[in-house]
Amino acid sequence: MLEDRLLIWKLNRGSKDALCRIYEKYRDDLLRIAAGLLNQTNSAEDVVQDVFTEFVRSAGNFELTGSLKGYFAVCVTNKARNVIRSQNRQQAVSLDDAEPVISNFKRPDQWIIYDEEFNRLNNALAQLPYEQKEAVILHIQGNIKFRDIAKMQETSTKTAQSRYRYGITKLRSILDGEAPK
Amino acid sequence: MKPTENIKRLIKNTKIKTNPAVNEAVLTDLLNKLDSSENIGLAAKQPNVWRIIMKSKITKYAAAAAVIVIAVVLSTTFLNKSVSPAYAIEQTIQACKNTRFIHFELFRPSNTKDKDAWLEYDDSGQIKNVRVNFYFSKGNELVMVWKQGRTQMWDKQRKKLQLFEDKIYTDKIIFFVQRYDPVSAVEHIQKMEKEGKVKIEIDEPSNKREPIILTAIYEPNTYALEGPKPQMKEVFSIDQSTKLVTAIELYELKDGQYSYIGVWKFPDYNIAFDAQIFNLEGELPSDVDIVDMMTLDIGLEQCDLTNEQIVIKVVREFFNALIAKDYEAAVKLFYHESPKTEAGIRRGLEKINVLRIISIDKPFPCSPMGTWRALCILEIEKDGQIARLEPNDIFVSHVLGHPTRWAIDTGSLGFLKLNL
Repeated sequence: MLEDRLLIWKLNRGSKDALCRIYEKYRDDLLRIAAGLLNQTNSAEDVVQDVFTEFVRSAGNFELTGSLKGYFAVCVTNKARNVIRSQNRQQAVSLDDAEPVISNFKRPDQWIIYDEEFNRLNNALAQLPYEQKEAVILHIQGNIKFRDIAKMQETSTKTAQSRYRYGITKLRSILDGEAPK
Repeated sequence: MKPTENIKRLIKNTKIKTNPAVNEAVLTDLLNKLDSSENIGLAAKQPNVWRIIMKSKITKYAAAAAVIVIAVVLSTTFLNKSVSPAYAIEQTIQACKNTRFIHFELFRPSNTKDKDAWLEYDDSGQIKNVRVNFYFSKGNELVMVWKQGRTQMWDKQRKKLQLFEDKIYTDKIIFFVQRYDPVSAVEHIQKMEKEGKVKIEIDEPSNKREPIILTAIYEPNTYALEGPKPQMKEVFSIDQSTKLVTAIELYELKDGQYSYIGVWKFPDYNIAFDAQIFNLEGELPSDVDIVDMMTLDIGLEQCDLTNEQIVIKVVREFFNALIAKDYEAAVKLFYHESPKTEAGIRRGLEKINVLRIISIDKPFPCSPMGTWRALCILEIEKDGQIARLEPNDIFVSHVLGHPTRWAIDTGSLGFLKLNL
């Protein structure tokens, strides 16, 4: 916590070392949260890059009020929701689609490398209702308090806790069901 | 049952592995952004100046006076709008007429640069050379150089250069030029207006320092070369004194509202480029992998089949090859850009045990780049059980460098994580 405040102070004065340290410290956590929430590699990677980009843009007058990890986790969650919302509306027409010069080449390299364990967990998370998944990921991976999760989900703390509990119970049953008998 | 604590531990402790090259590319991009950040130092040097100013009574009175002045200026501006427009599109066409060099840039809504494009025309006004730099997220960059029908495509991150000559691709380049090069963009919308596909509105402000705004509204499915598109809107900003286009903003209609997609900016006209900009040889690293797409044997010939028929044929033959475990045939039907990737594709395809094709629905075009989507239902064997598989990402497209051939597109079967 104290280290984060010091890093932010340095970053606000343009320290590249501070940015490198923050990036190294939180990159993997954020990718894990985004991948868990979205279950789509490309969107998850884009969300994390956007969060870091906006964070860098705010350098100079960034004020840290709580934990930096919590701040990042909330940013990732908000952006993940936007992605889901836009997907629900209709398949987005990207700028690349808006003109025809790009064709037949592969997407850029993947950032996240999936291994068996990470895949297994993400596949199980994907089977949870979104609010439950969000409560589980934010509480366990983002260290966010239920009170704050409730605010984000615009519900009561009790409901956020229930969502978390249901999510954990369901995950347990999914992962148990996969275990060899 | 696993205890709850075990589940929590699993979620908390599951590690993620990341691609070191992408980690570095993203960090480099962030460091560059930090370098160009205008906020740095401001907070440190003058933390409370704004607050001090805004607390002052004098400032409050001054702010009120400023609001009144702005209101007066705005109302005057609106009242003067009754002047009839004197601008005509032909003035822009005339102003652009002898342009031989154009550089333009595309910015996304987040204001990040998405593309740089350089165009050169010959003396007769025909397009001679095109270069487009595509800037992707995660720091990847792709450079396309087109010279009189022949294209070079350089993927910097993968260190790969593709060479091909493809009429369909050339048509797309020409279309691209027509769409965004201001020399022909205004002629293009004029032509589309005559065909009833575009509505044009012109707003010419009386203040000569403000740009003329030309709005072109495209009917659905008329914006792109092929494939479905919603209603699109382009907003041209035209300099009142030079009559040159300075920017084109793009919007698409979503849920009844125009959603901003990006903006093309035209920073300079007729400033000759260094000829080397269209010559990649000097920029390529020594270890770049050069692939001549014309030498690859991929896909099925269309012959006299319609697009719909060839798409179904490609999908059917591809899955029949998988059913027969004829991976050589399946890999040949799967679009790839280098013989070096064939082993990886084959390993990926071997992960799926297709027993039979239950159905293939009527395919439909799904992108302006000529990619088609085919929905099909397969019967597969998984963990000793027979199951149905309905992959929703089977895409079929032309093969680059072989415009009469079609193959399963690289974006297909993502769940197999094919090593491309």
